[in-house]
Amino acid sequence: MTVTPSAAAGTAPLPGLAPQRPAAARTVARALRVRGPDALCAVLILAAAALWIDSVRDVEIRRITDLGLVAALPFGAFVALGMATASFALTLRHPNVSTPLAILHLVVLVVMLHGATSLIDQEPAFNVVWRHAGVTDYVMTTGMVNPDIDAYFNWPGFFILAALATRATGLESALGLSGWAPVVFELLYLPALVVIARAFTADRRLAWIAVWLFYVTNWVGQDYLSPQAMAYLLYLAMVAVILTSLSRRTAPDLAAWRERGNRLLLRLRIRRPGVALAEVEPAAPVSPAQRAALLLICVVLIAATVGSHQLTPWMMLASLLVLVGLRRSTARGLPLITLVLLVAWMTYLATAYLDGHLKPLLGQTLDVQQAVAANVSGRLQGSHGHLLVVRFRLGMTALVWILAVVGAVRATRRGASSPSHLLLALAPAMLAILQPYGGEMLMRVYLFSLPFAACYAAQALMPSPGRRAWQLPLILAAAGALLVAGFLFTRYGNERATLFTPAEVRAVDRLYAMAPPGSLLLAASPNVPWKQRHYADYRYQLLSRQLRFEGPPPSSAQLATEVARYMRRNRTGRAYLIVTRSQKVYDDVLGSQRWGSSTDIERAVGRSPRFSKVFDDRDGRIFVLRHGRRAP
Amino acid sequence: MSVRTWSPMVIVGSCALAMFAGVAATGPSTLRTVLVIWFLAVCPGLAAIGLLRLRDPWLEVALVPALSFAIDIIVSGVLSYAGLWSASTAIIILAAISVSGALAQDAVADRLAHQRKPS
Repeated sequence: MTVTPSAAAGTAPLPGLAPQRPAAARTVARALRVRGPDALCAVLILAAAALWIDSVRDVEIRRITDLGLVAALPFGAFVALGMATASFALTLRHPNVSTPLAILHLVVLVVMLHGATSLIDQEPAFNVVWRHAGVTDYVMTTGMVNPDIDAYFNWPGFFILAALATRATGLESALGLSGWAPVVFELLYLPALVVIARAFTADRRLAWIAVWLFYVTNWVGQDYLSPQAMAYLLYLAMVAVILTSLSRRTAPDLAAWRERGNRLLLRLRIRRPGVALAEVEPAAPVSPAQRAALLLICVVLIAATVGSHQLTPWMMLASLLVLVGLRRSTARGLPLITLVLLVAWMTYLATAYLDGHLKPLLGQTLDVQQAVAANVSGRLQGSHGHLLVVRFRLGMTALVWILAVVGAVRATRRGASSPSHLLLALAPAMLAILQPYGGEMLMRVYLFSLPFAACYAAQALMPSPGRRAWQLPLILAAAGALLVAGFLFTRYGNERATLFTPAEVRAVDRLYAMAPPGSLLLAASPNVPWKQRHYADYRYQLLSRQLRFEGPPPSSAQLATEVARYMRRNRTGRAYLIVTRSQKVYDDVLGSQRWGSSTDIERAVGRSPRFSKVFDDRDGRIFVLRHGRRAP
Repeated sequence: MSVRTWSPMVIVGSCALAMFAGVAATGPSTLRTVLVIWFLAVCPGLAAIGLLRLRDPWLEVALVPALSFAIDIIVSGVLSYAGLWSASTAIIILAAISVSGALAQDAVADRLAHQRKPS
């Protein structure tokens, strides 16, 4: 540590000389090109990051409860989050925000909020990640895709890329890439989010707050190693182009919109906007050749998305339709091109999936009752702690939208609303009534609306012009404390149910070692760290989806009999049943079938003479049928 | 040194390293992972975006990884559907695309700048 002369002498600085800052602050300040208190903000945020990493590394996963990770976080982690929030609020205290400093804060925030489990988990969390690694492994091993296996192979773009990355890095499995995937994806979103926010406002502080709000309210957790995380990046990049270089923001058009808005507001008896239209930073001009090239880039982004993910291209199409249809974009041909690419893909390369699923998919279309049941009521089950987490999520979502509405009203009153952002915030909702998407559609709608809703929500947090300078930092600190605390519940609320222990992974390894290819592998519930290899070598089934019981819940003996019957009836080779810690926790936290849980199945087959236990470890057990016994 | 000056150098350097890491090296390592991911996430997109000479650096940075991954997906997807997939082949093709883009940046960008007029 460097000691300043004045400090060494124990005297105050001489009059006329600037007060000396600590050496660390000076170094950081020079690197970030910031002066004065900004340098202290930089030191504060770096200290927060260090404290966070030091605190979170010591989390014991067995202390995580049904409320999620928050129950296991040490005190230091909360202090670190408080420091980060306060530092960000202070950074935005004056209009001339240092761009490097704002970026530093957002990067640290992303690492802290979205990388927490990367520091904690001993094994990759979330069973879907293991499945994705298995699809990648199949492509890596065979070099091809087999559309007859399942839906993943009908939209394989991401998995082919993951296979390329895995093979080129020399890793055995794509699981090796999954650890920091959430942080990497979230950081890759950052530039596009900044472009989107800057297309909303010329006020730099407002733009940074919008991006910050996106990160602290994005609890959806779709940034793990997955096609949707990649496709979302392509979606944001496409929207960034559409909102800037391919936007229609000429003065007459805006004036017409404003006039229409004024008439509507008058009709609704809302105060007529009296403040002049706030300046939106004009998009950098582009030449016809650049415009054509940007259109081509959008087509490339859309094409890659069409082949990688089922839902995102439809979100792209919805966004493009509203923007072009309402004359907010000059890319008039893009919706048609998107539609052609979608139809071509489904007609030629996804037929294997659609052959068996088109009728059920069409049957779900516009079925509002089913959409509500799958997306809302179907999720309101599980343990008391989990129900609280679900309510937190609903509350967080509602809060963002309330803030967005308040912000939209304020922006409209000031004549500063951006119709394009409003349309993009609302466009994803069109798909909510079209498809339940396995009960995940509302979450996806929220995710796709969030970058634009966050712009309006940021507007709600901005003090009115002319207010005191310290108001914004105070508002941000208060909002940040609330939202960051909520984020810990909403984002990491399922952590107990999604993480895996090394002992469980060893149990699955043992299963693969003892089961010959072609065997039927059964699990009680979906939460198993399997399929990361041998994706097509076995038949995988879940008892929670296969067994049906009418009337009252079955006795233990009845349950064992049904499991035995299923294993005999379905086997093509041998049949194995694996029950792991995570399956039981999953049922405890998220809710099980009415007729019983993984624990009930384990207890039933453990007591039954029809089964023998061939592997028994702390976190996983494997059962097979005894030879010579036949199910009745 | 402007972005325009260093982007071709970054592309060519990254491609050389990626060729070594992705094609010639054996065994996994953190450095190899970082080099390959950097190459896949940056080089093809940077080569293409550099051709446009956009005036908005944020838009350029937003487009580079997205376009890179899109090109990666299309190239490796075509190879896979054609039954020609191998990581080495894909890396070599992507490196060729990236280096071609980098080398073409000066020529095409001058022409674009010459044509430029606000739309």
